[in-house]
Amino acid sequence: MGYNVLIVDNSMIIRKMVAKILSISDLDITEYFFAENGRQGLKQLDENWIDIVFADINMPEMNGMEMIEEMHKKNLMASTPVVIISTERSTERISALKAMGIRAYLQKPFVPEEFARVVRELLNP
Amino acid sequence: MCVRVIVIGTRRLDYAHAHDKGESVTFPEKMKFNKRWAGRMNNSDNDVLLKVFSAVFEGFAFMFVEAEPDLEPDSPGACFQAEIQFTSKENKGLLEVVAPAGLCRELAENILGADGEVLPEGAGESALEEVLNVSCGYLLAEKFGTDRIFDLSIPKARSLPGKKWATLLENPQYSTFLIDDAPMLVRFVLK
Repeated sequence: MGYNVLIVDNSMIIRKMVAKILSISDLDITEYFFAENGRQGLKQLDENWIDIVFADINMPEMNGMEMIEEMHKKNLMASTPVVIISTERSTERISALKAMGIRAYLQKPFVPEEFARVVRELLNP
Repeated sequence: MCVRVIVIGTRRLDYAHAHDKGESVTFPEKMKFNKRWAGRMNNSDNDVLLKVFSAVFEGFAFMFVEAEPDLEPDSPGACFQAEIQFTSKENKGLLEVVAPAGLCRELAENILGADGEVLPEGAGESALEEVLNVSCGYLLAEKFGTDRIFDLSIPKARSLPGKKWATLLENPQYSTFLIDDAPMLVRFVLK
């Protein structure tokens, strides 16, 4: 069974990098969806079946934390694992994100093998 | 009398006081005391900038960074300039980079593992913006620890004519680096 992946980041290079890492891993990815900010991310979640979300925090229009808050309101957090990929290093903010229910936090720049390992564990628990 | 010695390694810049160590020092041509670097040497953030950008370029793109105080004023051609601003309750400031378009393209290729592939339009600019984004977060954590919360702006790269390069190079606020032999200017301002 393949997985549908949503990548939410205002950086084009990061969206492509994450997709590439996933495509060369042994994970069975059916389809990739992309968004440049939280608002577009929520629209993708409304319109498509998404198995896992990768999201940055610092984005224009709607940031990652705001997107997660909206996902909570829509009761999506329990069924849709969210992995944050960010430059954020503040322990307070990272703790707040974990309290909001994100499944993993990966700091940029991340090692592709570590990234794939985290995703594998989330999709095949 | 204290003599400041600049030792340029392959990966980092070390400063030592020869007098304190009781060592006699000879100055090979490449390491001669340089007026331009003297101005930049007073910027105590140079070491941190080198550490941060080394980690980010190596981590993202397997590219190696070294400090180059004797950067030639010749323009490397068309460049991109990008800036990111940061604010916290205690501080605010900015981090800026200026890099040749060719370096940015190579950075994008390395990040994407795009050997010989055609890059999408804007990939070089996006790569520079992301390196700046990651470096700023790393730099602030190095300087202030992880207890302080910073808000970062969204960096946006813009084209810079090559003829501006020499002007920027004269500004002692810029630290000068080589990334796999390509030049890059970095400016860190803390207000």
